[in-house]
Amino acid sequence: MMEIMAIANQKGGVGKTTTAVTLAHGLANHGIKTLLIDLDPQGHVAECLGLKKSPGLFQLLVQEIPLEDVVVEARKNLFIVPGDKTTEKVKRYLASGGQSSAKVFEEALNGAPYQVVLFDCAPSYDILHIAALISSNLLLIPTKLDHLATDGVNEILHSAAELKRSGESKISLIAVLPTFFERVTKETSEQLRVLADKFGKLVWPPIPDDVRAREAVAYGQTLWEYATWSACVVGYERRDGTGGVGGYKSTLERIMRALRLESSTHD
Amino acid sequence: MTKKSSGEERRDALDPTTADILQELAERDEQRSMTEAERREHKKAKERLKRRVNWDLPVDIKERVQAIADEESVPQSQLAAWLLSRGFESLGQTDDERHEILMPFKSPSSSPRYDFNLSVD
Repeated sequence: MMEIMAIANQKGGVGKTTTAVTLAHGLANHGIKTLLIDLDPQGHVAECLGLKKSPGLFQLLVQEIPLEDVVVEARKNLFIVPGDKTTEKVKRYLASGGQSSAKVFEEALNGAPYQVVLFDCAPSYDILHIAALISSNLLLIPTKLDHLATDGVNEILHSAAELKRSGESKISLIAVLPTFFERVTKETSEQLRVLADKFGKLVWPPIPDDVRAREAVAYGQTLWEYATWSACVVGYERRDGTGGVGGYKSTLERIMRALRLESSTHD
Repeated sequence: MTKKSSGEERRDALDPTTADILQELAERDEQRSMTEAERREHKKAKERLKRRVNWDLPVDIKERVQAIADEESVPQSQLAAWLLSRGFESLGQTDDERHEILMPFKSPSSSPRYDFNLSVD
């Protein structure tokens, strides 16, 4: 069964693309054939992987070129549908009734040979965003820890709930993932507390703020290539020195457990 | 049944690692610039907070708790705790028994956070 997960938050700058690219490459490294679809006209998914932006999504949904001819193999087991400014045209095309937005990804992904599909959603509630929520069975919400964080999470949850209520989507929230976590900042820890009080067990351990995440993008490398030892990957050191807390490594392990995915690599 | 401390109950409601982080942060915050008296007050307030809960209940249940607590001259919180502690016994001894007992009261939920709603009728 193909698992489809939307990585979404209507607020920008919360770490959606870094999360999507890092998790997608992490899954691929475990031998899990993964497809990452860029729904943002900024086309940053390709750039994060050291590739050029290209009109992959436009070709797939507007020109109706088959998926296998549109995907780019970014790394072993990691395939992407890149995006660029033509993604804006895709939205207009869908909005004009060019294709049923509800079924657009269902049709495009039908029979696709991937174990996991990730959508990197744009920070806006548009027709592509809705289509991604409709097609996904899981929703991961990265969120920054500032005073608007809970608002942002609520907004996307309301959007998902509306689609679920209308019977258009069967999406379930897998986790709220706090990003840019600064252990020493009072505001950050206070907002983590607020999120945990509101969303309980769904708030997973945070991703530490780490300059290496930004550096990796500049080098066109993922965090698994550029800085596997960095805090945003392995988490921050506990005060008692008993290992790392949070980070993308533990997030990836949780996602694999939740999706019952097994690594086919043995290193 | 083993009784859990309020700290353990909070851990159950949160992801255990997130709960650990929050506890570590809380301890750090507490240690910052407090007088002895403030520290004592803070500790008391924290203990009270651990026992506090905010649930949405059907109005008739809330009113019945209020009325019985008034008649018996006991705090509503203690009456609610008394009722809940006995309510656990009706959920059977194992996870499977509890699942079976609750199943007829469950209906699908449209919330992305929960799979079911639970009817109290």
